[in-house]
Amino acid sequence: MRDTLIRRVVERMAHDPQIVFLTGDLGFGVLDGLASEFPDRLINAGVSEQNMLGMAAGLALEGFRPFVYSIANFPTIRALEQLRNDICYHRLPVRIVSVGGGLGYGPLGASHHASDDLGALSATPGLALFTPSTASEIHHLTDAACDWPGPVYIRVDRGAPAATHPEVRATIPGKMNTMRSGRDVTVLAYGAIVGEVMLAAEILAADGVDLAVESCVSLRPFDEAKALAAASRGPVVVVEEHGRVGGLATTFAQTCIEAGVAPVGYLALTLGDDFVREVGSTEWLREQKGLDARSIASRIAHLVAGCSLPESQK
Amino acid sequence: MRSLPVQDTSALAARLRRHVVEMTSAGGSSHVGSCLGCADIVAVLYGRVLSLHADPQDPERDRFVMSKGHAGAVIYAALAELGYIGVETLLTHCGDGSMLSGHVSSEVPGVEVSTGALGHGLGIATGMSLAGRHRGLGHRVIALLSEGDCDEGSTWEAALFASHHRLSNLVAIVDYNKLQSLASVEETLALEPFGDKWRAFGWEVSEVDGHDHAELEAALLMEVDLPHCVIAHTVKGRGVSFMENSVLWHYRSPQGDELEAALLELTTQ
Repeated sequence: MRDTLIRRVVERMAHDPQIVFLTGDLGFGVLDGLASEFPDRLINAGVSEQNMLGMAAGLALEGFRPFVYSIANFPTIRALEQLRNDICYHRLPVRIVSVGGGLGYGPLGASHHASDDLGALSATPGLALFTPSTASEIHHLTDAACDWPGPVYIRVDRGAPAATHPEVRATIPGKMNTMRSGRDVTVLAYGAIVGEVMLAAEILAADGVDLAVESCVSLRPFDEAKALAAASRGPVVVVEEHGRVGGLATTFAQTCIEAGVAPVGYLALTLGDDFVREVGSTEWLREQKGLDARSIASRIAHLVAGCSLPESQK
Repeated sequence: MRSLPVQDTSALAARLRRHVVEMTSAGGSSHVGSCLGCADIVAVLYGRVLSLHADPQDPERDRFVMSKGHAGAVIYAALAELGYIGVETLLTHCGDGSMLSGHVSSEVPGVEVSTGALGHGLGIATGMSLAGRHRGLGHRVIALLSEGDCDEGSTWEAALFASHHRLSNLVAIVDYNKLQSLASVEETLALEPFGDKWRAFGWEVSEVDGHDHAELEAALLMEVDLPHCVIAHTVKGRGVSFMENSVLWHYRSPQGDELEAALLELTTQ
């Protein structure tokens, strides 16, 4: 996913001299192209995330449009006050990219799990939250980020993006992308875990359960219309490689409650309320947390068994 | 080059001191000691050294970042004395509906960036300095820090970066009054050998009497090829005898007899 993002940033940098790229001493082998094309616009801040974000604010105050790049929670939680006071309070066009959303750095331990990043950031006023799932979505959201008038956080999975069938033509922040139409249950998800959801849909289809799958490309702006439409239509399942609090599940639930809409069935498949303390690959950890395709399918089947489906589906 | 008229900095400092005593009294706010202690630095900057123009956003201006944002009152007073804001607004400081928040606010013409939490200013100033150099512009970026700023790791992150990249258009003035919020710097988190620390981080270092306008100006106008730290030795609360060197007057708002006594001292100076 990050390769797609970097590639698009480099393309945009060719036409926009105001884009500069700061890294917190990370990006080995990933930033070579950017470094060779724009050596004077790549700034290595060293392992100094608070200063990196402070400098990004200073650059943005002077008319630049900086990208800030690191992994896991480093460009966000580590420098949250700079993000809040220097960047968001001043509504500055700074793009904070974090690679390794969720359990992308699984075996490295909880320090490298961006498992509560959205929770920490969703309360920060004025910060857009982009959560792409596919290569196409990351391409378009990078474009949107380049043009975004204020601050934006882009959460990028470390590994391969979810495959897309069919290819999504365009991605607009605030509009979910329909990955799969279906009549029984709507699943809202983001990030590479959408790939697991799509596989779960195949498993469930064999058992006669028809999933609709929506890729939630941004938590803020949030596609409230689609969320409420899904909640009005039937059971809703949220799947996210994030803790129970502060991510999509929280956003969806708050949206429903504020609109007075409650789905007939609801399930939030998340990383729960604790750190992920087990050690293992991303894939293995997903299995432990019930976020692999087989577990997702099983848990949704259980939900459906206990729910009344709308009349038209009986 | 500055196009705003140069001012008599001694007279300006005296006016700034009277303003901040009145403002912190009217607003019932803290930090009068912090403001009085750096009034000479602020007078020299705004009165003579900073390249400033009628338009507070003039692209050729020097950038000034008030990292010790809690002394916002003295900055507002200086901006009023320059004509960027009306003098009549000063007494609304911290008042309901005022644009003059307790910590310096970028809503006010002439303020580059809102600060308040310590440790942010030098990083922002470093980014501005990078921007200026990238564009080949001749203006400077000056940040005024407190000792509290120098407790924050983020300040030293910026110091590392600035010297590594030889940002010679960047100046950090430290208002070094030796007092912090609960006790002296020496008792809290000793900074000495302070100048040596900045030199070890790769900065050019000057040490001056922070109340001597000639020394301040000479240091601030030095041409150096490294980022420059001007350690200004000051007295917190300077100008009002019973506020000097007092942690209490970091917090206390002058009222009643204390207000009268303070203004009397400042008027007769």
